[in-house]
Amino acid sequence: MNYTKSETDLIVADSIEELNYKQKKLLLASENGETDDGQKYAEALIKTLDGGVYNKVREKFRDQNYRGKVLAALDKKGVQCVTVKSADYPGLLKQIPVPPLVLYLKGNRALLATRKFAVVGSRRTTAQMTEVCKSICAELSKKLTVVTGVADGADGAAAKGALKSGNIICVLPGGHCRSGAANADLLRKVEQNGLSVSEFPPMTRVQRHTFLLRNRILAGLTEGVLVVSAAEKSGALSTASYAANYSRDVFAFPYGVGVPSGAGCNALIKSGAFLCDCAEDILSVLGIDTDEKKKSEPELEGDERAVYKLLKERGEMHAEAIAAALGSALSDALTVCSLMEIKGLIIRTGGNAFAAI
Amino acid sequence: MLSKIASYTVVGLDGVPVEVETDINKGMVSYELVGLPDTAVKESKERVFSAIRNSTLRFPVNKITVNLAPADIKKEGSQYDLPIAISLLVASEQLKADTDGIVMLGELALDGGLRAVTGILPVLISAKSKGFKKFIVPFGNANEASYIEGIEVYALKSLREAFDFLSGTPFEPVQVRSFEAAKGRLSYDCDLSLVRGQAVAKRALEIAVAGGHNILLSGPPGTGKTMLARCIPTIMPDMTFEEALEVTKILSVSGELGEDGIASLRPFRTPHHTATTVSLCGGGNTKIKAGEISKAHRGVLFLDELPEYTRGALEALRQPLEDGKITIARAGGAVTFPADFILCASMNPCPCGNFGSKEKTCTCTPAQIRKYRGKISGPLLDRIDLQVEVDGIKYEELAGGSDGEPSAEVKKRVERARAIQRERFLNEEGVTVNADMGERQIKEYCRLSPDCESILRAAFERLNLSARARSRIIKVARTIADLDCSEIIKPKHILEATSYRNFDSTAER
Repeated sequence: MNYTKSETDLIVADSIEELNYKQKKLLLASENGETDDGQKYAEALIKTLDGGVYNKVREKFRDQNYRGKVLAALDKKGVQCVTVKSADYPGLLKQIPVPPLVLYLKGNRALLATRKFAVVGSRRTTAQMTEVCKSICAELSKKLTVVTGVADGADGAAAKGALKSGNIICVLPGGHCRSGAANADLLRKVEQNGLSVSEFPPMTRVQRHTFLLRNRILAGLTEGVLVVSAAEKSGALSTASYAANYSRDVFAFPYGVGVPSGAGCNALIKSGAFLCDCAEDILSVLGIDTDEKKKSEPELEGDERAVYKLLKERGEMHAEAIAAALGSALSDALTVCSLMEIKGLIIRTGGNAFAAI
Repeated sequence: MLSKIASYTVVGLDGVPVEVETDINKGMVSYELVGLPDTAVKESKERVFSAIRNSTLRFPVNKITVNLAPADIKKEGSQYDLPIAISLLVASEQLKADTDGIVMLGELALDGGLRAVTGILPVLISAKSKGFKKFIVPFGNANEASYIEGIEVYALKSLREAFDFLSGTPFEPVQVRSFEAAKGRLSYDCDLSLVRGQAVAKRALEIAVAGGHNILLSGPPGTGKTMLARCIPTIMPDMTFEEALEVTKILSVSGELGEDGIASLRPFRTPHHTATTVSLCGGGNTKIKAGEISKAHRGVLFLDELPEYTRGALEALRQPLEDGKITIARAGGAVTFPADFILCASMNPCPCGNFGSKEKTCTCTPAQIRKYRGKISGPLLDRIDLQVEVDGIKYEELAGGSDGEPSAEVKKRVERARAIQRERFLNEEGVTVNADMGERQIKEYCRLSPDCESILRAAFERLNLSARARSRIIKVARTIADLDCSEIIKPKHILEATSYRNFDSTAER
């Protein structure tokens, strides 16, 4: 990758571990030869740093050898960078209070320029909502780029749903080389078809606070956020509150009373988030034309039709209850349920129960 | 004078002849026991001394040498007391009788009484094949000895009785009893009709038993997994006499045989999860003993809380699950024990136990659940054809739920399906049930119609099944078709079979 001088400055400054965000900005300003205030910024920087450290950092920043090493290491790992000075730095992200100086990328960089929408949720999401999230993301990804994380549960489901279209961005909670170990497979596929983004240099470890920093990017990159599932205290809620602060639209799935993984979603709706139960709900708010093709009832016959109707009317049902309602043997009910599961009409929700999608 | 008495020891599950030789000669007064005796055998010197004296007989005071031949096998246990005492009496010329061809076994009490010993049945079977016809055993072993035809077994109560018997006093030999009569005497203490609800799991048990498949029950605590497992023997076909003898041999050697003298019920073994590899598979330093898997031969091995067992113990099960037997090799020699059982394992769906439960919430993270399930290795799971969820649904919640079917009804269907399989595998070596099929047999006996193939393919794509799940599903589908008395595997059989692969797909989520 070739970077301009100012881009390289940013990348090198970002790679210096001794500095925090403010200090990096001061360093960049002090080393910027075009203005005469360099000395002023340097003094400000020295105030916050130990004198020795400042000298070391400045040495590092100016050292051509070090600069070359940083860029070569990035190239070797297959990581590209987009900096605040780059042309394709996402405009929406620039608006947030503390935009990352550098975004580290792997995959299809062009996705940064598309319209983006975030889908987030808890690791503990019910089987049924996981499935709904997957299908809505598949729908959304035809019109937008879906932005999410790579964790288990809702994030993973969103990524899987959008993977087919390739309009998927996963934002990582740590450096590229240190994230997503649990879902390495999924992340690899995302990087092949879509894009993975991180504000951290590749070797940065995932820590508790990096998740919160990451959530700010999820909200910042996108026009709106859908919260798939969230308990009363959940990381997904922090993304939603960032989104509200950045005046993005917030959507949430509705849940029944007493469902622990939905309490946060219901609270969001109470405080004014859009209620969402299909992709159209989101697309219409964002002003994107939908195909107006409401999901039609699948054409089914005999027992399959009866089972589908039952599950649509009564919600989740146990296999034995289905058999009793059909008046058939349990083995026949299981056969029908298996067939419909394969067709993708219903799913297992655990404990031998089924639910329609 | 010199005397020789025939006796037996057990190595593995086979009897090995041991000759007790006693020589009484002039010389310094001594009493030596040679021929690799262990502590229990050495101590027999004291028991024999007291028993002879207390039977109003005389213990010779001379130079006595007792030899247990062959001298290279280690002798264990107390069953040599009787032959040693008798050979002493013969050598000291108190007992003048022909003891040729009579096998004697028994432990002596100090008062001269005969106590029961272990391993009588394997000895009788081996000795009978070697041509021995007459046996003296302790009275406590009479039942165990009563199922073998064509031999004369005298079950005696004391050394004195043995002395009298050999001197010519007539005694009645043990009456031969039939296995059929024994079968009626005992019954299982549980029945499928007592398990309420759980129709899915019950159906899975029926399929598992019909095809000899291993089964994994997963479900929240307190949903009746153990109860269901205990019902498995009740729906298995009755044991044949040959099978009963195999089981009895193992129990006899382990000293776990009941009052009845024969195992008429299929064994159900539940080793605790702290069990060591050796206690599960068998082993031991001098005498190699059968492990739990052999004691479960022809029955059910129930492993409750499967992930809690040590990794080593679980991995050691793989080879016996495949071969139906286990060969244990130690420095002292190698022994093969049969281990043909149905493995029934149970586990919670997650560490807290509430994953998938409708009433309680699971507090585990997906990563924790993955780790918990990861404790069971893929190769072991490969050998468990049916993986079923046992749900915590309340019985009252089911509309129109009916009373459960009694085990006897299910057993009839199982027996019918087993008969079909027996006929099918008549010419196949080592294959008796569907679960035993290898890739070749699957190809031959489980031809799939294009319909079935396309359903299977769709199932794999949609449900994220692993490649190894394929042959499992086909084998189970074959059994379901057999239960349905269907010659060919129909799409519905494949579909039902795919619904018992809970572990494959939920682990993916």
